Amino acid sequence: MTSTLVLYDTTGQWGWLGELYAIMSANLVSHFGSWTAMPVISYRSGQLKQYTAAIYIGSTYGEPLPNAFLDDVYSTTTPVIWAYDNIWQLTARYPAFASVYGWNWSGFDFSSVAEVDYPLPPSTRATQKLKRYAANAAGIMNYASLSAGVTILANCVRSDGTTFPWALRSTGPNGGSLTYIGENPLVYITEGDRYLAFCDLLFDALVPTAPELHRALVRLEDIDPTYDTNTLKSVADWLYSQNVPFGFQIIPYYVDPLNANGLGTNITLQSKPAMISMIQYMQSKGGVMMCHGYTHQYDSTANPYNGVTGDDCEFYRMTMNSDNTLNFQGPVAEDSLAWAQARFRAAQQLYQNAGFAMPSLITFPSYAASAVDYTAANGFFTRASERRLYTTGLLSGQPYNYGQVAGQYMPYTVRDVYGMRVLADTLGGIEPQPYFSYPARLPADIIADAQRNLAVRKGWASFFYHTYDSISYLQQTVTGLKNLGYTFVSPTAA
Amino acid sequence: MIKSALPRRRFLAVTGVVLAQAALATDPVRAQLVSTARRPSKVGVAPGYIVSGRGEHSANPFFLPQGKPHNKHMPIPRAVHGRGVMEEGTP
Repeated sequence: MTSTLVLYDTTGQWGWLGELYAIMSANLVSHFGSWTAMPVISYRSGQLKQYTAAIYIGSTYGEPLPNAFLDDVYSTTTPVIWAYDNIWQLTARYPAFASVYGWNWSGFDFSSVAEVDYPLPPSTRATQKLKRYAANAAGIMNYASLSAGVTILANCVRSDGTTFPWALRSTGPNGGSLTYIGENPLVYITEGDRYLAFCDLLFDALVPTAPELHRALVRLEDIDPTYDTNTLKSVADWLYSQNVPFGFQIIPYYVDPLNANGLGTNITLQSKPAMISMIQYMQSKGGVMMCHGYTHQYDSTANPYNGVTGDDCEFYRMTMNSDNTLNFQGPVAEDSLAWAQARFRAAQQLYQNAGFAMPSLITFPSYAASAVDYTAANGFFTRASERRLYTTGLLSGQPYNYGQVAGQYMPYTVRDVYGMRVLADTLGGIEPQPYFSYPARLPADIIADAQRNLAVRKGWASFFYHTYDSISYLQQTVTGLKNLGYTFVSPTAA
Repeated sequence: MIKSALPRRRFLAVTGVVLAQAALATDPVRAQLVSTARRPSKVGVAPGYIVSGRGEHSANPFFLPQGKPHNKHMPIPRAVHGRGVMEEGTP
């Protein structure tokens, strides 16, 4: 069993960001084993050697790092991954650092970088051209010296094609490895992003012998009792013919309190025998039913669109900005552990009324819920297939602050800070048409990001598909992922 | 908010089709996809309607952590421990 020490910054007006980055790091290393997260300023001499590896995310420029931490990193026998700020405190304390470790920093490079290449030789795995948000102006560390003993793990590619290291590794005086990443990989994350390189580097530190394995998941998204069962049958038949197990979400209660669609309201699963039969049929074809909320909308209000099941957010308040982007406002007014539990119990009753057991998997509607909602889900489900929100307070013990929140997708299965087994959700959904500033996301886009996702040696390709879109999109995506070497497995096996 | 005489979802569906065809026409791979007829299995559904968690914009917490700077003194957090999935076993 591995154990990881996650150290984070806390000082300054942006100090709270350190907790969010620590949460994200802890989520990732949970894939490998247990973890301990603590402020770096609380570090005490000797703690490093109590763990399999350590991660420090330098998010506050000038965080006062304890000498005990700097001394233990310098002389470590434990693999250390250090990202971004404050490496200069280590090199200042140890003037021999450059000669011992074989490299020294020169300063942040503010070139526009839209690509990070990873892994690089001597890795025998294929190099992937990972994305990077080119407008990220935080800078990436560049280097004054690099000796032959330093392994360049990834390269930044500037817009003119020139490169410089994104991450490197060398060995200290006592044989421990120090991996340094020249930026914070936990911001500006998209599908196919250089975040994946960080996710993969954790294998080197924690389980370097892990074999390469690439599996895939597909979810049929947002199915409610009004859905067309013939379409569902066509999709299930095709997936079955391709030996592709799949997950399918069922929202057990369709409502439309504002009469936006004119389909009626208060339509339960049990009132649709054809849908019940189709669920049984999909299960016979390798489908695994997943809970996707009780109503997938909130109250009798637009949250943010129209109050219709499948369109609106259920467990979190959302509003729209003038450019049609969304604001994640925070928990709904009634939010509490009891409120969330009541919704899950209501969903459970509707599943049971239709002859089904409560699914063991959940995807929260719209990828959004409060900390207590996620906690409530632990009492009903064993797995979550989704991206999740994390707020400050989860590590610090302070009240949850929904004004300080970050979302994260996982490249592999983790047990997140809420205690849930969370499945990979790396590729997003097929969206055939653009929506204002949101571009379309077609099979070619998903397949290209799945290619990048091969950078993670045990990474998953995980995407979702709405059955009201042409089945050709699903067919192209599944075929493309198989051609990349991914093997589809059931969500219950993830 | 977009003002339109059309119901919102129908407006989005119509504009979405037009925009998609315009945007994808220059890419032969994508143009082939656009020609595939949609199945109106869910009445009134607007493609790309649900955008939670999507997009490279500053309000998306999955892209960029949300929050503002503050100088309120906070107590130093204590260490927190968490379990893993143990999938990889003993290294």
